Amino acid sequence: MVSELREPTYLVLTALADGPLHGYAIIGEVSKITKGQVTLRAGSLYGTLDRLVDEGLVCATGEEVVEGRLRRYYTLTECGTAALSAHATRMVSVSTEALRRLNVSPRFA
Amino acid sequence: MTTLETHYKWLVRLYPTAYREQRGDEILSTLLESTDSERTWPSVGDTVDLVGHALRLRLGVGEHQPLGRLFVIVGPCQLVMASLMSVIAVVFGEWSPFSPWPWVPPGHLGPFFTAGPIAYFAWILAGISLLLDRPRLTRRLVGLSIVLTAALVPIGHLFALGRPAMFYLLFLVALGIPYVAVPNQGLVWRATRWSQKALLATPFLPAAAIALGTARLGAGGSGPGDFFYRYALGAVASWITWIVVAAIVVAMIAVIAGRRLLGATIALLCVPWMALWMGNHFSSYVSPRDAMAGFVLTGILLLILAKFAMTVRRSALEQAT
Repeated sequence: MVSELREPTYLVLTALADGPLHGYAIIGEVSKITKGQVTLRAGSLYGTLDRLVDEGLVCATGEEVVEGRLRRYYTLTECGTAALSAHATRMVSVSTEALRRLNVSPRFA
Repeated sequence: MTTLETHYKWLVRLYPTAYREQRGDEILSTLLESTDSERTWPSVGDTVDLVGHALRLRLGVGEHQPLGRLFVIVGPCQLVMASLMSVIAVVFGEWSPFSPWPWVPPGHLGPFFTAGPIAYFAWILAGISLLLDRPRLTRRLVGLSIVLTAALVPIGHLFALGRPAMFYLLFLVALGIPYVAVPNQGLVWRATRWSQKALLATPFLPAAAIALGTARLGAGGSGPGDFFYRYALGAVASWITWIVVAAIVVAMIAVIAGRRLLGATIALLCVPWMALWMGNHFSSYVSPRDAMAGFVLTGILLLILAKFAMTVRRSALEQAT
């Protein structure tokens, strides 16, 4: 069951859109995407990843050990790509409409 | 091993063993990579975040766990209920101009019969925040509401103020727990399934029954304070009983149709209401017939939830083997 994407979910899926990433890289990518406005913490990140793996939107693709530290890589599944694409399209549509309305209704600007 | 790594390992030990074996090293690596190497202690934010995540997993309410998914659906619905019940309590249970008597009791708080509105307004704000789709703020406000609701007891003692009936306070706290237990809860009407969207209507049925029933009693000489919390709520108990009976029928149909999560959701939504009537029963304002019906219905609801828990437990064991 895949419900409407919530912000952390949307950000993690967007971070993974360019290719597989490990936990720390996802945190860094989310910070970059949001221009430093959102910093995911480890507990929240793994809570979100657990749910995304459970929903079949993300899967683990491999592991490596760097300087004695385990890195597990995650990537979008086909279902995850479709969900992200659908949500992003909807967001663009709503944002475009909001901007259009702001232009024709300057009293709300 | 650095001091910081030792401290992080202590925190990772809070996770359940099975989860730690699967993810412990990975979480530890992420923590160490994302923290300034000169630090010796984890930041307060990281500590709270990790402890919260580990605790949720231990309680079985992680975002990917069945109970967590149940709470994600139930949480916003019950928060809407708590907000509506707070509005009803402020208007019918506390607001002295609604009273048919020309006096207010000792221990009143301004125009209110008790100190209850201190917590009620927090619940109302949390409901508004939910409607404005601010999940993080909403979660904080629900936490604040729970604390203020619990604090009404010592506040009443310390400042000689009246407080609402204890079972009403426990009812509100029970309604708020699913929302604070699981983070990142969105609006329920964003759900993709029509059955989940329909759940949004559930808080309005009992709330409307109580508002209408209390307004009718009010015209007949009832009023705020104990008249609302005990007599008025007791008087509309049978209406709520019928709503719960209808909900149980739907829940059982859902369970038979293999929609166990939906069945358990409906059952969990009904439990606080039955707890409210049971609490009221012990205050002797529910008739023995309604009380008996309440015990039977509560038993059926608990059976549905136990069946859900057993199914979840069985599937978890099957996955483990």
